[in-house]
Amino acid sequence: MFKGNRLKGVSNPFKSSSSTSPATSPVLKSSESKLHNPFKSSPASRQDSTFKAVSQTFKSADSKLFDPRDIQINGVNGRIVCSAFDFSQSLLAVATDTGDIHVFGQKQTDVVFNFGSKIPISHLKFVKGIYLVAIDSKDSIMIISLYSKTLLTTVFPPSKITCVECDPSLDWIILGLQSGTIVIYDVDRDVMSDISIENLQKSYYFPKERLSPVISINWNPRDVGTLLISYGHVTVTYSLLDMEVVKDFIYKLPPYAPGGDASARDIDRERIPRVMQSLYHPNSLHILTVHEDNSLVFWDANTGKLIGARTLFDTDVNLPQNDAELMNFASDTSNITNVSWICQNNAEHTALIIATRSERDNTQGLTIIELGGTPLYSITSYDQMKKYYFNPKQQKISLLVDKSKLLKVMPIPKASPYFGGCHDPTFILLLFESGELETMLYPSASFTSKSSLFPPCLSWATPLVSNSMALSVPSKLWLGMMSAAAVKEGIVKGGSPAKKPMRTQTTRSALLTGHSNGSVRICDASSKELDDNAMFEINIGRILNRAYNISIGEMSLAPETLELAVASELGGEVVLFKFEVNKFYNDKNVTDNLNLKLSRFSINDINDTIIDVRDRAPHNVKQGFMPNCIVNAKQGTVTALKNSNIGFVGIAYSTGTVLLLDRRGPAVIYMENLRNISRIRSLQVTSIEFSIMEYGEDGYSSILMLCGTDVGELLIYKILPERNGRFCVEFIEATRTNNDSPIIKIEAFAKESGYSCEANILKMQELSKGIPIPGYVITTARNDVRLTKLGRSKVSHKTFKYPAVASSLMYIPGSSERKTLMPYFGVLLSNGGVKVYSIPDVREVKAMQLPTQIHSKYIRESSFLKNGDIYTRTNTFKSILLSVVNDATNVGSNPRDQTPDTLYNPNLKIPYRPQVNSLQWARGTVYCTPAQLDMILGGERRAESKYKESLIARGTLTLKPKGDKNGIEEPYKKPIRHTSPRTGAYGVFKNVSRTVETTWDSLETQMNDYATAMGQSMNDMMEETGKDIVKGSLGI
Amino acid sequence: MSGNGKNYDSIMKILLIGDSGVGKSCLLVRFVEDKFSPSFITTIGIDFKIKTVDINGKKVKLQLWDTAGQERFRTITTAYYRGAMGIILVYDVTDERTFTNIKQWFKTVNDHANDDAQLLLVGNKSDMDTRLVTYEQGEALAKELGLPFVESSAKDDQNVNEIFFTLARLIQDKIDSNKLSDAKNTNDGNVNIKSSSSSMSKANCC
Repeated sequence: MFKGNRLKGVSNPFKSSSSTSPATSPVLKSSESKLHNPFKSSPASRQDSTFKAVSQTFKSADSKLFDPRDIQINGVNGRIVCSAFDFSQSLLAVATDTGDIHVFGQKQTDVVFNFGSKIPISHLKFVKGIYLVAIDSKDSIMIISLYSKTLLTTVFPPSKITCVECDPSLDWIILGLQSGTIVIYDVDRDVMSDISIENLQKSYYFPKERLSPVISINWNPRDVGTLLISYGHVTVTYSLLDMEVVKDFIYKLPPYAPGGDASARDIDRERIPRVMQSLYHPNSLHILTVHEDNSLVFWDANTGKLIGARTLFDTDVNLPQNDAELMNFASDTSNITNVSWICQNNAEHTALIIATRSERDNTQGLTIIELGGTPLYSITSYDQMKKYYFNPKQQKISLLVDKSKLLKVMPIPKASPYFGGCHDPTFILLLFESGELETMLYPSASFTSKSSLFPPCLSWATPLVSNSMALSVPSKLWLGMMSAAAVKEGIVKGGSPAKKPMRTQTTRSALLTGHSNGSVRICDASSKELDDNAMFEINIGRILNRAYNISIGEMSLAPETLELAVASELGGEVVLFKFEVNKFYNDKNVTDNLNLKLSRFSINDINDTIIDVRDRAPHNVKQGFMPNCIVNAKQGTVTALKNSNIGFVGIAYSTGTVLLLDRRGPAVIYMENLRNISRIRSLQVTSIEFSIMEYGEDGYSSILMLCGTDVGELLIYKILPERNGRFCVEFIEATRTNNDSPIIKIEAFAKESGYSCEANILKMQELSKGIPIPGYVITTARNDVRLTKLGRSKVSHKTFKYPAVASSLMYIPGSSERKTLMPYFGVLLSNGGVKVYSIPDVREVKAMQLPTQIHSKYIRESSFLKNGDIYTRTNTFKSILLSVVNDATNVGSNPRDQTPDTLYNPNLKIPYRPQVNSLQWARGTVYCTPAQLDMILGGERRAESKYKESLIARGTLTLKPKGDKNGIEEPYKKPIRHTSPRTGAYGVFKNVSRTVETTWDSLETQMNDYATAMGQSMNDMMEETGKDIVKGSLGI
Repeated sequence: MSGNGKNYDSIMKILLIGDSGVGKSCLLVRFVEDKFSPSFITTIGIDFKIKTVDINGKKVKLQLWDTAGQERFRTITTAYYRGAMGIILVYDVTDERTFTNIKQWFKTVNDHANDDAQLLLVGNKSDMDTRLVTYEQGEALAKELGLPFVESSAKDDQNVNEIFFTLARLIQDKIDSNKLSDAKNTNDGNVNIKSSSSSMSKANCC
């Protein structure tokens, strides 16, 4: 019936991905040819009675082949509640609600700390690259060494901690307490400093007000000797050298000034809106205070003068208005929750990233106010400064839709660890209450779903996984793909993973995760065994051009042809992909017309079942899983999906419709509702499989589509070639195979050899020879497993005490010769039990218990694989890969016996901390060195550190500024030199600044840019500075 | 007005909506910065711009919210429609789809925006030879929906200012007439004003 010629016309899906195809077939051949046939040795192998004897002998020897163990854990154990990034070591730390702290580095580097406490961590801070400070919500301060990966000590502060400040180059962490007091802890020496700062608001400003906790502490970005401290009503700059307040900033609203809240009831009185955050401009010359009424108030840090007060959309809000106008302000109800003052590589170019949340409908957004280049402080009037803050270059709003509460905005700096971690970020990491992470790109304000930027474990939280599965892939093809597409672009580059021995296998386990944002990610499930890791990623949101209903439901990957089918969980659309070279690759010149066409695409405008979406391939990706078409049958959600290795895709819908699509075309070649076929009122198809074998006593083999239903019925179809080269589908029979429960897996194997009858190109090509392959079909339902001879009768069956979760034919090395693969059948039960059967007699070889529980919520997300691996999702953010194969060569590969990964690299330097600019210094600011700070806080007899980490970290500090690329460390160039004649006072200044320029660096690097604009005012100012300098020098 | 330090008399929040690529951002950039770029750059989220204009002798600060038209980025929620005093619905005269979608946009506005928000229909790209939607079709739709209608070209700077000034004037008239009716209600007097024409509202100064 299959004539050779006709099948030759069937395109081989391998061909288009030429680089990978040659590798596939040999692997398969070898794996199949190596299959040991346990039956051949027995002359009467076809008789069931003889199996008994054979399998009895198996039992003793074969049971030793199996022993369950962990292979790899993917993800994090629990919801992420806190995160921190260290620039100098390039490490990312996250803490989960289960009390785990993960520190991630490059590739698979992942060290987990758990100190037995389940109290969630509220603050994570890196100190000098070598210490990780974790503070939990019960105020225990844990100091962890990243070098030795141990807990060094735990400290308890005298009262509840309300805010924490530390610096990547200093030993000290500053702790603001509920009582309003500030205490300082020496991380390096494990002592509390004798120095503490009293509640300044209580002592000096509002003694009668209720006791305010410390709201916010910031180190001056240019001077370690000054702190910016906020209490409820007052913000101050505080000098640690002089132990006194330098300037205070109190935001007083006169009557009828709206502030950030025009609807305030007491608007007719003077008010002081409460402070919620305070920040330094990266040049340290201006201060921003953020208030609970949503006012953003800018101040001159030197003079304490209020430059201007604004809200997100209005300006001059600190000035009194007449009543009528106030009405206009009340429209926006979003509350500011957090502000980050980020800067570009040149720290004078800044932007504000403001997180907002509406109390009314929980709408959240991020407003980016692009301030642009800061006007030169010394020559700009307050009015001009106000304009700078009131008329930004750009303002845009990015909405966070369908997200839980935003907990943290974390810029990932590219230029230095300073400026509060806000120095030149491209990626802004957002942490939500649900434990999810989102990545916003700056400055575009778009969101990226790309997970390869982050450690693979975090893929489970970026965003939530809606479905996951594992499947067997041919080793050689897979490893080739992995090394070709190895990830090189990660943000986290530190640490180095410990090497794990690689298991020698003909199939490896691939992990597929589908996410709520429409992403599907494909990676190796035991990636710690590989040097090169890749994560293939597609997003159906992009293909469907839709923001809603894109969460991923069913997924199916054809591992030999590298075709992928993905269903949207709620929409029911199926998108088909194929791994290939991108025909639409065009990194630069995408025409506006194409862009417009792509941007206006809407699936609702098209009535066809098959929608060609090849041109929606991402134009900047050269090779990968490229979109082919969308199948939009409008038959409800997808209940089963199978992309076979021979180009057919079976899709079953919740309405009971079964659809068969031939990817050559593509064309729908069959669509029928189950109601017209089922004999026992099956409502839905729950599993689909394609096999090539003999049906009944046909005398030849055919391509069969086997569908299992929700009530244990098996539907059998033949896919037959037609004269025109197309295929047609013929329904053969519906037969009740299993007890009344959904069939979760269908597999077929050849009677003679025991090898799988799963359809692939090789077997399809051999159909033309007309050789019949008689075989058995195993159907696994929740309650039982059946072995059936198609077109005949049920051969045998097994029932279980607990529901079956996953099953598979396994081909594992036998006990005698290492390289001979023996077929077995394994079933995973919901209680974590595993049963292994010999085939075809289905006799129990081994029963064992996995060291992991099967989570009832994620029962569907469990897979049993051909190499004896078991995949199961253990919670929202974590999955585990285990193996039931007792492989003596892999002793020590259990993650629990592993040497941990390395985190700390002593060769990485901590950059030089930016300094106060020369003008500031000249104006009388007393500069404080880190050594002086240590002296002040630690006292003259500061003890030596008991940690070896101390010495190592000291070696990584950059003590002298270098003229380098960052623009912060250029030697001071005094612009005045290029300008007009000097006054006498200037002479003094000149001498001083000459010495200055060799040892001190300037931060006002733009001075030159502005120099041309400078006129008389500059000279006047310099005169004043000259006078100040004398004062300053006397003061020192 | 200089007494309170503000350089404007009132604020109006105006939203631009419509399909992707109809020229919302171009209209706005032409109006605010008097620039035009022919290349297509997708708006992500909302771009916010400010321009102060003179309406009926009053300085009005226009808060202009330029929203993303592309379905994938069209995440604008009810919160942002709310409080908008003016909403400009834009379509592309060279693309019928964008024109037929106006009804959908109109429905969205009705569902989410304030009842008293002033709407305006704009057919953009009137300079193009490849026009598929006639002026009459646009006008008919505007009539059907009860909206004022303008055809414009951001490229040739035709009717761009008119869009924003017309809308601002209509809003100002509404405000003024509301003030009048409020005044009437509170005073319980015999102020006999029914129309909300601009000439009348100007006379009413409070």
